[in-house]
Amino acid sequence: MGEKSVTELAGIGEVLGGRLKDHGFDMAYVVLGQFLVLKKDEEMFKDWLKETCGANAKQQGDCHQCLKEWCDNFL
Amino acid sequence: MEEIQNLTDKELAEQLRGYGANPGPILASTRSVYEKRLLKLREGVAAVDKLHKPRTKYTEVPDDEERSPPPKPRSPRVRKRVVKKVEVEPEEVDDVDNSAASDLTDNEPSQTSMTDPEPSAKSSGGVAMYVKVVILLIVLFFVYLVYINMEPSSGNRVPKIKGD
Repeated sequence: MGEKSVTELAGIGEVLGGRLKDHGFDMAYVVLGQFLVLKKDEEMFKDWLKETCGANAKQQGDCHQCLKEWCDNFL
Repeated sequence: MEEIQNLTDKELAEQLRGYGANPGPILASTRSVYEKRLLKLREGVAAVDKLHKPRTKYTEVPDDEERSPPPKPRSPRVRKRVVKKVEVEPEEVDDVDNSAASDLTDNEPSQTSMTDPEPSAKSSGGVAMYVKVVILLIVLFFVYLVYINMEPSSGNRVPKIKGD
């Protein structure tokens, strides 16, 4: 996760990454932080993602799955 | 909704807990989603279950029983289509198999004679089985011919066809 940009997250491309950066979520770990603050709740995180950068259902799912797996392995 | 927005972070968290939710910290970045959550909870009951229960989506799968009846009535229709193709005559679709069979015996060219011993094949599972066996035998015959010709020592052993 280290110093990876937010666009390196699954489901987050240039457009969504740009929007997230506008909200201050410029690094992957910041989004991870948001995921953790939402207590790793899937629905809450997906809602937040949709609200913040307009991700569609697939993108939401991909990003959530990506972070969930990272947490399962390293947290 | 406005009322929810006027709640303090603490009050919002308390209200969420009142509905059985377990909210994390209400921060600037999380506030908005939690407000929406509270709205959903107030409006509907289902939202609460979604929070805590594992998500499983059950799609209806038809029972095997529902599938088995259709093939039987289909087989005579398949037969009728075969009959139609060969005979090129408009047949009455509603006819019982016996009448269709009798039509077969009356009008058929030699090809459809293959479908003649139908009643016995029908009981075991329809036209398709019998035809498959015949096709398989034909294919095996050709494979046999190929196999014979593959052996290096022998010459061409393909049975000669007169007038070839």
